[in-house]
Amino acid sequence: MKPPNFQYKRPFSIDEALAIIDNCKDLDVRIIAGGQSLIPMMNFRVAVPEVLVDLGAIQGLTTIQKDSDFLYIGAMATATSVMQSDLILRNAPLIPLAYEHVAHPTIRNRGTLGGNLCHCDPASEMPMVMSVLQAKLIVASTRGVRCISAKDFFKDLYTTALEPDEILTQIRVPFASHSTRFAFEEISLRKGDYAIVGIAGSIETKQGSCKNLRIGLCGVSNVVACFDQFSDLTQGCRVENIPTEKIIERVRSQINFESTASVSAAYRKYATEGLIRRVVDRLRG
Amino acid sequence: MKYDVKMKVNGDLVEEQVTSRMLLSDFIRDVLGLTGTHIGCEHGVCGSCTIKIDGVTNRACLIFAVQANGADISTIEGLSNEDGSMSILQELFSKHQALQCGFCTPGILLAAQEFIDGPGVTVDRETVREVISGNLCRCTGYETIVDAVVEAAALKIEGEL
Repeated sequence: MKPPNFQYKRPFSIDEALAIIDNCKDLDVRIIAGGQSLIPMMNFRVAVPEVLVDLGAIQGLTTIQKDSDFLYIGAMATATSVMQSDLILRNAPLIPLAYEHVAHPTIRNRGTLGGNLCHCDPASEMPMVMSVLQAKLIVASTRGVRCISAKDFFKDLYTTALEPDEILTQIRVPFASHSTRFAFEEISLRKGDYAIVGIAGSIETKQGSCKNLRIGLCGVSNVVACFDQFSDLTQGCRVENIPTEKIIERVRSQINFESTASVSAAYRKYATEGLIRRVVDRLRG
Repeated sequence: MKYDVKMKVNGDLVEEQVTSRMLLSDFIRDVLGLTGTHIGCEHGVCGSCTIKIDGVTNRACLIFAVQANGADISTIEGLSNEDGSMSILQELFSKHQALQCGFCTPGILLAAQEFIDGPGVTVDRETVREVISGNLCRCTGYETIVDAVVEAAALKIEGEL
């Protein structure tokens, strides 16, 4: 199918983009980044925006930089550029690990990290990964700039904390310490397809003992899921002794597994248990 | 309302007017008459419409023509040699019978060529399978496609391509 016509706007700066949004208050305005989720929705007429604001011509939104505390990833950085960035590989290796499972090379050439996060599909890897990494999202509007933590940003199915007049401009990812371990596992029908279940885990280790275990899940329910209440299970524990089955039980008890057309809730639950076991085994080293 | 677009397609400058809703895939086929770019699913799943924009592969069905204003595009018509003969990769597809109906072939050739020209080129069959994982073929079962791409990758690594 084809979408109906819309007004197309191509601003050259964030300020210009924000002014366009402000001037179109009574219209259905959508921001387009890479468009790899939005354009399929437009082709199916699931999304029918009246105005499309394309961020593709704005300079400076694709840069990847760091200082002593954070990685700064421009919202328009493509998946390919993020995956291939040495800075990111060295300081947040969970990101390229998970990107291996995101779509296919050609889609990753155009799809952007920021667009992926704003689309907020709970089957998508990056919202969950950013929650596990405790990233911060910088959003701009004509009212100013605010910083939203990942756990507050992802609200519900396709729903973020972004106000209609706001644009995500940057993702700030705290550095992983050298003693932080990461793991990522995913099952999908074909690699690159939507996750039946994807699991990310991270844990900080210090002289063998561990803290701050975090487990994120995608594909299992209608919300982006990240769990971090494990301190009673990991307190004073050497990393190789963390109690896998208790961790699985704790995560499982907090998820409402849902059936979809091709995957039953029972299989999803079974696969989730198996993948958490694999992820925790990897974290144990 | 129509929008002016100006872009380079296979080295030629193109200037047209397009409606906002026109997908780049439709622009390439219906306005420019370059029908080697095939349209399968129109939502980014099948890979038939794969083209190159500014040096990297893209889905032509997942970008509007108006967004490609100023871009440098190459399609399957730009893959052959300057004299119109087939490129080595195309010859290898023929040699290995890496196509039957040919519908997916333009997209797969462009995805494979990007891999062969890229920094990660290897003859590892698993890697090649992943390279073409975004392109659906309903005829070949992919084995012969992998054969052709692996031979091209070997030539590239040996410096003969």
